[in-house]
Amino acid sequence: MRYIFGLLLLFFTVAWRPCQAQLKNIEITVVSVDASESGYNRKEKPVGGAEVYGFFDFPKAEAFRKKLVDDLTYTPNWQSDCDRFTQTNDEGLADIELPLNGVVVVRPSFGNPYLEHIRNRMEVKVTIKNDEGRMMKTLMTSAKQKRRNKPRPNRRVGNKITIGPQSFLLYDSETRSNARAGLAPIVTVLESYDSIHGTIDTFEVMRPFIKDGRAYHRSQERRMGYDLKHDRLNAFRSNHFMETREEDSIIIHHVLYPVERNKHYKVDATKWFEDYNMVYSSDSVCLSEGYDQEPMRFLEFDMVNIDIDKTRYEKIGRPEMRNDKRELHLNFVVGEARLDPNDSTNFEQLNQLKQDLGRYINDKDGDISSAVIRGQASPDGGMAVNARLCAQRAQYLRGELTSAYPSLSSKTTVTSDVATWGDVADLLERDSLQEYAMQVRDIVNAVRDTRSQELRIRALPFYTYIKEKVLPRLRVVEFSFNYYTRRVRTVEEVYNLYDTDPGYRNGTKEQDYEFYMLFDKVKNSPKELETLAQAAYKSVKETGSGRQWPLAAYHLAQCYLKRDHIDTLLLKPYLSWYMGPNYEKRDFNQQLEGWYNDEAIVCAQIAMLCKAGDYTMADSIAANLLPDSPKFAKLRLFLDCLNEGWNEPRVRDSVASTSPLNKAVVYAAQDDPDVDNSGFHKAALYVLQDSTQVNPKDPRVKYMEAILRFRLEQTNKEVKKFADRNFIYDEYYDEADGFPRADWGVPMVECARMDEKYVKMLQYDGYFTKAYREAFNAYWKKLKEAPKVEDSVE
Amino acid sequence: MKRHLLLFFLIVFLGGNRMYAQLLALKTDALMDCAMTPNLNIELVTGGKTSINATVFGNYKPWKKEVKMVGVMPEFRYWFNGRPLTREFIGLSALGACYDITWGGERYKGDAAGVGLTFGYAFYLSRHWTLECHGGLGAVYYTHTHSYVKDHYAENVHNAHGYSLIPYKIGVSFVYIIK
Repeated sequence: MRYIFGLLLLFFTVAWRPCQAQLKNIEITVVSVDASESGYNRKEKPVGGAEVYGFFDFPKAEAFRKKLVDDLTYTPNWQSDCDRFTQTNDEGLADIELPLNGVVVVRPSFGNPYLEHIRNRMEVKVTIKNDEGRMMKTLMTSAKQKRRNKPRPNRRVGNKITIGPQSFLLYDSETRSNARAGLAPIVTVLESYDSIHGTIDTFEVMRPFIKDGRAYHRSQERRMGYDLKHDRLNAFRSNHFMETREEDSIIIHHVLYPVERNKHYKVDATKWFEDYNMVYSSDSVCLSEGYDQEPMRFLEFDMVNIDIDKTRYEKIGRPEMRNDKRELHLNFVVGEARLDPNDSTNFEQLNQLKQDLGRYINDKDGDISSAVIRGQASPDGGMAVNARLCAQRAQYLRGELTSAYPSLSSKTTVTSDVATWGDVADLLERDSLQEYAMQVRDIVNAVRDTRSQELRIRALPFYTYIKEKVLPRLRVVEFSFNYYTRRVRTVEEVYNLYDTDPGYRNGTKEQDYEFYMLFDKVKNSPKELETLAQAAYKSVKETGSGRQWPLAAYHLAQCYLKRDHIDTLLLKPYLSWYMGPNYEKRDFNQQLEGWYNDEAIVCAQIAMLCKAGDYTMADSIAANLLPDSPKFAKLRLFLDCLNEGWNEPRVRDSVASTSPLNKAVVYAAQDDPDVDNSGFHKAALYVLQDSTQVNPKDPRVKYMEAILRFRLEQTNKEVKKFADRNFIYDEYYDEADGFPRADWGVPMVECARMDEKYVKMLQYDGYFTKAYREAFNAYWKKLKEAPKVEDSVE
Repeated sequence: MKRHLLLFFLIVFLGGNRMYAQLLALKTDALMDCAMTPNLNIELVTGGKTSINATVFGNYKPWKKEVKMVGVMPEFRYWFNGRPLTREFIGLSALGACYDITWGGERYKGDAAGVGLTFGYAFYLSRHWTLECHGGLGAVYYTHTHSYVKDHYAENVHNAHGYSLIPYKIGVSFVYIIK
């Protein structure tokens, strides 16, 4: 008997602990709705102060509920009448510790008590109808915690997307002091999603975000020998520590730059928790669904346009001997001395060369006096073979040119040589690959025989790079020539030739000083200017630096800007981070090499970058390469604004004063978390609704109005579905009634009617919720299919 | 005995250089120190969850008692939570000691050897300091000369042998982790 009693005692002792350990923190949410409201847009009000009684078993709970219903004056004793007790806070939330098969009885200050089974749910929502006190239950079968992590929209400005800063919650059920929490985000391109194969392109693997528990950090420090640099994840670790069972968060902040303007980027992440032994929790989360908020989308700004000081790039015609050269990278058929017919660049280069030579050969006042064609082959494939081939290929080029210009035949000599592996090492050094270059030089110094050198170099692990990136640069044909001019034409002669000679009009005949003269003539004709600038850019080089003529590049860039063509590389060679604004570079003989950071060229490049949406680079160039002058103050102001400086009062107020639309844009963009921004948003809305300040027929005005009305007048961002009436004008609305206006979606309809491209813009706009997008799309579809649907938008 | 001790320390110190994630800690058992039995412990982390510990102790007439003892206790430890020198562990230890104890008019002079299990917990104090509490139970074989003090017993003959299950390790150690 004693043994049986002992066993029973042991059983209950052992079993009691697991039972106790099954208790979970169940979240109870109690809300009330007006009985008169219906539909999805009804307002839920949290019920604070509701009594929540928890029971481990149903019979006790049911008996308690009946007692409360039968005797309205009964005052429960929470210590004896129930197993657990709590009350909801002002937000209607309460946590109660119960087993997953427990029961709760909710008793609000109004209405009957309500009994609800937990049924293995972590979150229970009770919705109470206000009028009759009858309770309607709305259950959420979510297993998530009280505050949930939701995907957030990114912020995009131009070609830069900012993710965060946002807090990613770590739930108290997961956090431990002896654990490490990690978040490894990955960015994918939404447009690359292949639904058939279920694949998507990865854009970037972001840096991880790590948070350690206090105990974990201590032991990790010891484990790494007191040098945390041995921990590869330490560089990404937050400086704060998480504690056991305390809700915490990781701050996520990352910038994607540069991104393509017509693409959208989704951010998913793997979340994991690991202690000393294992990963005890792992999950996939979505940080951003690819919807972007673009605060500066409609900002109007003009870039500063400064006329270039063309005297810096003057080309003066002189009757003298000069020399020039052209370098061609021609792709020949392997082992043969003929051009690869599949490579169109071969013939483009050849034709360009013939054109350039034509300027001098066909000029009755000048000619080419001598020319040298030098062919060079790369060292791979055998010296003898290469030497023979490059000689043949140089002769091939000679043949091509002399067939076009027979006079060249007697003036042209041909040379050829084969590059060495030492030349390969030189090019590797120029590519900043010192390690690779050293390895190649070691082989060259160790072995004399070129064939053996080649065999050893082929065995190097980076030979693929040499083969693809270095050797082609050694396969060149160089054409150097001397030319002379007997007489310099006058401006009138040049203008006359331009007016009469088609070769001058299409830029194939001019010499460099003639281009210089002609730019003034055609400066008011964009098309003609572009033609000439193109021709001059291709054919004229700057003496000294060897760059393409900066004046031609400047005019070409201006033409591109006028017709919204983007080329951010065109003016890049004329800027230098290592030199100041308007820098005149001279060699050691004090001969002018060229101008760098000419402010006109810098402004043109900034304008080009802004057109490309690269405000970051534009701002950097303006800060470093423009002189400190008041004429650039406005430019710098707008660049500050475009680089997320719109919250700064100086920038905000200055940009707002430039135009009413800009005022609306910059006020609507105010998102300083430490300040109440609703005043600015309302002011922006006021501007957009004032037809004396903005054009009401401008779809941009309507789009912005739609965004602001959604943000300001739609109070419940958790709404899952919107009714059509939100997009239909409410002609009976009376402000005196005190109710908020429900037709806040009307401006979006007006905008879409003006220009349908804004419907597409809406699809990825992070200011709107998914529910809004779906509701608008559904309504827009109805409108398109049956235009007679009630809609009083005019 | 001495050769075995020397061999043990050679293995520990020469072999330790090639071991993984090595932390080396020095410690002393405060309880033993209070018993005027100076002791030195060295612990070397040998793996992600394991370490080896070696204790050397000895005394000479502590508290004016006729007790002379010298011993060594190597131990292999397994740390449950995944990090050596942190929190709970279990150890398999050995004991080797020579003693000469006169107590209550009787003299015990001989050797003892044993094996046992140790349980312990390490508390984090600071970056380099840890407080370790441990206790061990073991089976010890002893062989000694048991005689009365006034007897002039032939000292070369061990006349008492036996096994005993005793709590041969209990202590509170202050640990300094060198690196």
